[in-house]
Amino acid sequence: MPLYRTEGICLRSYELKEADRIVVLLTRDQGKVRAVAKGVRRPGSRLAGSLLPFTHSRLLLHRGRELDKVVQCEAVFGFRALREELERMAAASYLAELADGFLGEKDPNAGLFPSFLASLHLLAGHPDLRHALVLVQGLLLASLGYRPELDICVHCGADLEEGREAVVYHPGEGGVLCGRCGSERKGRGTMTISRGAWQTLRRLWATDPGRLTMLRPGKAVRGEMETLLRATMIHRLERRPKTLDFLDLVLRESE
Amino acid sequence: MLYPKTIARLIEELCSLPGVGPKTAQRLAFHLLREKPERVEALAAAMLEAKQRIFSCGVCQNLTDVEPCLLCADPARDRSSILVVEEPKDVLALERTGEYRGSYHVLHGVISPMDGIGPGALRIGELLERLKDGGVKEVILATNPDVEGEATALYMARLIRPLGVRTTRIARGIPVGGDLDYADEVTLARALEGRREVG
Ligand SMILES: [Zn+2]
Ligand SMILES: [Zn+2]
Repeated sequence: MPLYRTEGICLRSYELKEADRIVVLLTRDQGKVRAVAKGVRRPGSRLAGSLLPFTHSRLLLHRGRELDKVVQCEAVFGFRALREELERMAAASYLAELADGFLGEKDPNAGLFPSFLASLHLLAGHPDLRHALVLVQGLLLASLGYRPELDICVHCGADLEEGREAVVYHPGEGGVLCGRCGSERKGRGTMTISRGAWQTLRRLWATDPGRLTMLRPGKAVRGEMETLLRATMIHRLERRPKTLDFLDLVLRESE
Repeated sequence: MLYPKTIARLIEELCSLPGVGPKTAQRLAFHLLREKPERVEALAAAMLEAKQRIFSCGVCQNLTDVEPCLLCADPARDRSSILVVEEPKDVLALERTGEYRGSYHVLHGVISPMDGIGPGALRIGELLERLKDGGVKEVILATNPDVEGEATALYMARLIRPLGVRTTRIARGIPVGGDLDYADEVTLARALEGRREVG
């Protein structure tokens, strides 16, 4: 069947010819899909409003050889705050860039869509955006299977010792190092985080996504979590996300 | 297919133009090769002359071949209002309406975080400079009503408001000749927000 129905979230779009756009969609059951939206840049296009970035919509798509085509589209939820509040828009752009960068085309991932949708709700509505950013990065890594190893040393497999001293984390190796391996590799792509941040990260990935907002790290711990999550994203993406400069700029100005 | 070096180079150069893929570039290249030499010379001369003689106006940043541009030099234009647009072509579109008698400012782009384009890449500093002497009473933000245009407008409003200059955003709503039923919910919501007294 060349026609198929799905739900999707527009991650971004590119202008195409005079009045069209290529939209990059995260769909519920087809993974990432690139589709042409005809005439969507003309005023009054029926498709335009429901294909704005970060809009959750119901779609009827036509499968094509290179690109699919949007036949019908109806918005389910518009996430206006993500387009009309600068900090939230920047945060959603960051999340969308990550999802777009991590996903191959039409590689279904059943857990990702609901988790991404929950993340957009957090970014749109959470009273503390920096807090929400930590949560959504955690959710994204978990649903992609990129959750770092925090319990045992990724190098020698030893359980992480109890204690109060800082924990060594290696984004490149995807987890923590024990005291011995950590001191051997110090400075070679490692970073250290406090026990508090380590504990909170473990709790972040052990908590049911629906209850994540109960997790309320203090400012210092949250900053450490953010640093670790970003380093992990950059390592996985193999580049610095383009959206980060703008995100940092608007977050700094809103302080 | 292997072309002589000169043709391959022409195709490659054409390929660097926006919206031109390898196939179109190839078609254009062969079209040029079939044309009379004077036609091709005229095209090349027009491109070169435009490139050499056109620059951005030191005031409004619009493209011009005189300094300041004709709009900025026109004594009939109201200098107390500046309408901010993304691209030079937007100035033309607004001039065609014949409704606006103020001055313009062209940003030459729009904030696009996904493309790594931040406010520093736009002519925002030049606009703030124009607001310094206090002669400007209103800045109208007329960037496109898409995500990037909104972000740019929001960002600029933040910079301009503290200067005590009235900052407005063009209204958005149902297009003329459009059907209510045909409009999406975002457009409808905004049209409702932008309602005004009648009669
Ligand atoms: Zn070890
Ligand atoms: Zn000018």
